[in-house]
Amino acid sequence: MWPSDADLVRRARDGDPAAFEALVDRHYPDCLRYAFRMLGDRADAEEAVQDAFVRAYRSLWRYRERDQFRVWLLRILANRCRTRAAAARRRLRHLEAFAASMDRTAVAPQPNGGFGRAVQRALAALPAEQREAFLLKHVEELSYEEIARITGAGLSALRMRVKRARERLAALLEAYRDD
Amino acid sequence: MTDRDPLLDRVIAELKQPVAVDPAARRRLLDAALAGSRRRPAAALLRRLAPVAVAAAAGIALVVLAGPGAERERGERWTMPVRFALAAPAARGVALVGDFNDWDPDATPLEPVGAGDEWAVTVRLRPGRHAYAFVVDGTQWVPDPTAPLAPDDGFGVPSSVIFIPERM
Amino acid sequence: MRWTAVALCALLLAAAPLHGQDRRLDGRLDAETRRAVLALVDSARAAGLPTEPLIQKALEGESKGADGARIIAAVRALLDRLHAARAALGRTAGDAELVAGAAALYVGVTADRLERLRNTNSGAPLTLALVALADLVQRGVPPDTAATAIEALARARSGEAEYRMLRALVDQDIRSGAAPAAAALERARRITGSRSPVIPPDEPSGAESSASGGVR
Repeated sequence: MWPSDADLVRRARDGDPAAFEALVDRHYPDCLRYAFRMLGDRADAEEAVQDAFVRAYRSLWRYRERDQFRVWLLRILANRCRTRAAAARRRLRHLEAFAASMDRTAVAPQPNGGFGRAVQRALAALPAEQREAFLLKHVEELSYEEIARITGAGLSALRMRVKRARERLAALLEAYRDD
Repeated sequence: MTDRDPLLDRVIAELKQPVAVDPAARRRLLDAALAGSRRRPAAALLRRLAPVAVAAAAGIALVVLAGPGAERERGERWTMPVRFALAAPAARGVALVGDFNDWDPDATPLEPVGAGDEWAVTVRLRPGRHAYAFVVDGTQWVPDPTAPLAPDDGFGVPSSVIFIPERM
Repeated sequence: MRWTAVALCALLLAAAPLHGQDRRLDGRLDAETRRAVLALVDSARAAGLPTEPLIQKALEGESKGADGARIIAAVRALLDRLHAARAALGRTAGDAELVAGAAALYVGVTADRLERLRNTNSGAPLTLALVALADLVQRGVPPDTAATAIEALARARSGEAEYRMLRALVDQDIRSGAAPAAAALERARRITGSRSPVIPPDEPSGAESSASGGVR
């Protein structure tokens, strides 16, 4: 992609606001998608993404070109999402407790195809760590090494989180299997 | 790869769907990052601090920030504009009270509409269940005839309920 | 102007201790009532229950001219019902659901009917259904019958339009002289497009007909 992220970062660091705006336009959609899938609420997601970009802008001087900008940005965003999720959001706590009683959590199929909403509900029922690992692996399509750089967790722990997330999602959405 | 489970493939395809970008949110982001000053909405700032105190201060923050641009600043959460109306031809004044304005009869007066047979006001409400009522001429409590009833909880005065769905 | 507002809020926050203060009650409740209400709020918080409905209940009472004792009683009763609503609706119930559940309990719907409603609903928020339920009861439909009617709509995955229709039509029927119970069941049947009558559980199918003269 021309100009490269590294080029844009360099120009933004030199004080070119259009370059930063271009970075935002390039990465905002995926960031919003990730934050929304993690947090389940649009307004929260928009705020988390805003926080992340503001922090990114302020620490552009710290970004090293050998890191992929996207991975660097996602690390900031994943942190923002984790902070938000931890800050006494009753809804998320309840959904984690919800996941603990698995036999009750199967999501029944909705006749007019609410698959998307069912998926979001099932996702929200995962523990945050599993949700995060699953999204980064399968939706953001990062390698386990990149995910390790983002989350600070070890490779085998991450593999286990993704595996458990897959099993749980499959169980929660079992009713949709032969749709 | 998830080629061993077609169900998970569908789940992942679903999750890969983009989420529509709100141009206003993008604009806010750029303003926040590039303007150099901390122009984050006060409500969001408050949220980072003592969560209990937020409930108290947020009410004040909303009042103080009212003015041009307050629309944007007020919302750390999405709100929906709702028009409340009451037919009260003989009234001198009608107020809206509810759990969104601390049941304060001075907070949200209705305006007469047209010839004055109807009174109305539009307020922005967050998702969830809200109880409310009209107060006519400062003394007479009137529930909304078009809305479900809220139990009176022993206060002996009726209220109504409105439910605002989540924007999703 | 915004900076002044932020500074003002920061000052207020600095002044408030972390727990047990809500400045909105100052100036509206006397000290004793305020203390009692805040203690109940603390109790709710400790139990992981929403606190804002309790504050609002106190403010509502003050606004409606209730005295301190009545306000405290109402807030305490609401707290009890929030506990009961959570027990019936589950720990995943949101704040709005809990408050709506508490309202339904207040008007006489039993906890086990709430639980049954939760179980019909495959996880979607119940707030709409619970609001409609409390409303039907307040219009004269017996609590169990109202619960049956609402369960039928919930099972059919009804949305706002259906609940609103149910309320409006039942209200209209009652005003035209129909018995509330029959009206609720019949309208629920029609709205859900069900071909069989909506039968309240644990009752022989003839009972409603003979009592109210008309469930087909």
